[in-house]
Amino acid sequence: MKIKEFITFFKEYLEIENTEITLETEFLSISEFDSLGRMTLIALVDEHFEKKIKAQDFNNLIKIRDLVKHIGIENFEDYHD
Amino acid sequence: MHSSIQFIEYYLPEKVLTNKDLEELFPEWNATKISEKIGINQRHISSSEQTSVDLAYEAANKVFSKFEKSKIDFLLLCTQSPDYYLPASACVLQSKLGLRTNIGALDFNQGCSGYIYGLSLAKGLISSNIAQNVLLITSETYSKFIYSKDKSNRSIFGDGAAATIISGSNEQKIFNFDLGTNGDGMNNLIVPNGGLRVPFDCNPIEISDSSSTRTNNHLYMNGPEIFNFTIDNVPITVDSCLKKNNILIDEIDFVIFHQANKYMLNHLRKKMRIPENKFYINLENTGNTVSSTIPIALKDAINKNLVKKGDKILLVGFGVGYSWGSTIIQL
Repeated sequence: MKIKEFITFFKEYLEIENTEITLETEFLSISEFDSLGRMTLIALVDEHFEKKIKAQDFNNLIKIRDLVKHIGIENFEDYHD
Repeated sequence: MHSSIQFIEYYLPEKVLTNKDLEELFPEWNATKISEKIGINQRHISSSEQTSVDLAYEAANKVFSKFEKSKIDFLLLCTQSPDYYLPASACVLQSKLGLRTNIGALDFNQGCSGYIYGLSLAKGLISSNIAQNVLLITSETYSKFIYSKDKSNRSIFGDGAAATIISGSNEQKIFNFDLGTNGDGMNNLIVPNGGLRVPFDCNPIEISDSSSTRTNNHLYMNGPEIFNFTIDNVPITVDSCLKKNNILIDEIDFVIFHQANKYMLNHLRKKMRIPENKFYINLENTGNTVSSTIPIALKDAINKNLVKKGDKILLVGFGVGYSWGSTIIQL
């Protein structure tokens, strides 16, 4: 998957409309990232990558980039640090 | 002796908490979003004087309009909000309902898996010739466990009770079960204080996160972790249940999962490739009533002619414990 496509999914799933999301966006700045938002993110990652996000994993997710790394950069054809 | 479900009735308390009410209480909460995402528009809430036994009493009396109560020879009451530590609420209810005294009665403590466990116990009692007509009641007042500032849980849970008559029959209409337990997940859905392990705290501190505020005297649910638990276990129990019954998923006419929330249910449905037209989502007007969601959904599906006599219906319960179970029934 391309990063742009992933971010589109991320915004769709969390119903984010008017906020720009990049790899550097911090989760704390996303108001939609509440308990429901976390559940939605678990669904997104399960559906598209068959990966888990455990409750303790959320503590290590500071930026969107951390989420991409958690999913595994091998799943993103255009990812670079 | 085989067993079958004869009648189901349910009772919901009069008081209703709507999404609009929640929006007024929590201005940052978006009622439309709640409704669309979790599929709940309103939930019924017991009054301060109303307990699980009271709700159970109402549900039972509704079912007694169709089934003679003197024929009941076993009462099973599933509740996690009993009237007392002791005696068992089933004993209190036996007296209140005027059931015979030469019958068995017991409480069992399960939440969202409770209806499946109740059916398994009823089937066992009938097949071992201990009982002929079992009254299975699921009744919960989780609202009394939820902190007033806990908007997440207040938007999900509703109170209610369901009464089911399971009787001996010539044909087996309650098929084989798959049951599961994993207490490692106990802390993810719990009322931490108030039992004998940790007493009720008279001056509890408030604990806040991004979604809600609570105290340890109240219900705590780690929603994301419960969701992970369902993703891990529900597809396995469904598969196992189908195998134990030598039935393919395509042969199932209708599927009723515990009505946790719409988003979770749709994710599980898609993941398990269950056709949308066979999969019931039915919590718009009740919320998550814990052990009563399955019998409420079953009753509503019957009333709406979504299921008919002879249909094979897959029932799956999962939640607090962790505890889960599945079975297939025929009406």
